[in-house]
Amino acid sequence: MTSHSSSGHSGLTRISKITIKLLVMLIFAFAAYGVAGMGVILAMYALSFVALGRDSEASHGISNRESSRLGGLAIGIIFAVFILVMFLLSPYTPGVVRDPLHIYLWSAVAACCLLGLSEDIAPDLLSPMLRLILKMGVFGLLLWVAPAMVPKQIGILGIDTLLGMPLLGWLLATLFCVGFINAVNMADGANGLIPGIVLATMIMFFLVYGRPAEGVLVFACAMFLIFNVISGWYFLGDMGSYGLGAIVACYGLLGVAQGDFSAGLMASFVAYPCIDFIYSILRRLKAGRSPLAADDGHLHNRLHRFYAPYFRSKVLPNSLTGLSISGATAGLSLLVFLNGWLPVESTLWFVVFGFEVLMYVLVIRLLTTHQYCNP
Amino acid sequence: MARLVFIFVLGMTMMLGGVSLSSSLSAQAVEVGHDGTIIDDIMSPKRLAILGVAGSYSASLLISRGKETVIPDGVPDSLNPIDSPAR
Repeated sequence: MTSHSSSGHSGLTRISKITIKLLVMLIFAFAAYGVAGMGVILAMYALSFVALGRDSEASHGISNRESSRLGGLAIGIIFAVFILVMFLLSPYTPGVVRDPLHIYLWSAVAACCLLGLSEDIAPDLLSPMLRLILKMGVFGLLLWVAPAMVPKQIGILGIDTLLGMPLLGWLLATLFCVGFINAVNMADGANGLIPGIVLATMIMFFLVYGRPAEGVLVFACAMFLIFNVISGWYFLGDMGSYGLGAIVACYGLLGVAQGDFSAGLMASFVAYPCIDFIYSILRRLKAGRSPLAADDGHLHNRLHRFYAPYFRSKVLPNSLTGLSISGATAGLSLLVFLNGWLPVESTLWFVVFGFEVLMYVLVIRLLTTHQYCNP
Repeated sequence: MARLVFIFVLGMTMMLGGVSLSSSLSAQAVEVGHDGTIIDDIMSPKRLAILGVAGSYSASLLISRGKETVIPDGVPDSLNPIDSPAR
């Protein structure tokens, strides 16, 4: 067991700051999810003290305090316990037990979670190449045994032709899933960024399907978002980014393949990790560096450097960065979705996605110029 | 250590209170034949205290969406819409 660090402050100040943060989190959790929400915050609080999987200051994204990488494990525990007990108490058998497709889907998600957990507990246990091969294996196998998950068309000429060929469609969908969870992992660098994007996406899934699994995921993600944004004591970690990324990728593919919503809608919700992933690769290639080498040139790094001088707090600019980006991308899409401004099947969602791309390019250029002139 | 284990167990117990209430609401809705009394009762003080605003709304949405598709245990499989999206 260890304690949350806060260098430069007395023990008494530290305790009172921790207590105040805990109280604020409990108030928000109670307002949203009542006593059940407060319970999750308390459980997450206790789990955040576990010595396993801790990051030292400044070793992850833009954080500058000691935190736990086991946020994904916390979400996983909440989700598993909730679903298991609901399964035992409810007078009906959930569809996932009856439908093989969902069994395959959740098995792949579980495999991704375990892969991420191994990295959270023992970093560099697996080489990057082995991790990539394992991820390709998991999604390749999933889409091979469940070809119904591969969309036949997404509304983009050229790609639709390729998707029409079964083997190429399978390969493209596998590459997309692996690329997507890597993109989510790469973008997980600010409090509330990926949790905010995933929460908005899960709300959309829940309102489209209305199944218990999505409802519980909305609950777990909302509680994690409150905890992550207010305290900064948790990161999603690899388990969280791989697991949540896999859920979003699989549900997204299945939804598009079944015609429940358009590919444009999914693209607009998960725009940030996808755009940032591609932009970062292009930026590094242009600079003559390895496309997958970590750096601090992401939009969230630049936005944090812009916010930081305006605040005395270390957590506030970090959380503001994450919420600004998730709010301006997935939050915007959720607003359009909730107000019914575009039908879920409409390809016009690609216009929303295009607007988000434009915003990304504009903001990163502005910030780059601003930080070049004011280093 | 013991204090943190106590906090964790207390937290999980509080969360399970929410699971228990939402499951019992679902069972009650089946018993009363989905007459709307459970679905429309989003703002009852007990539900708000245990499930909160979002939780109470989610429980009602789940019950409402499950009305057409969820078949309680004991009903033959032939009557269960396996591929229904709302299960």
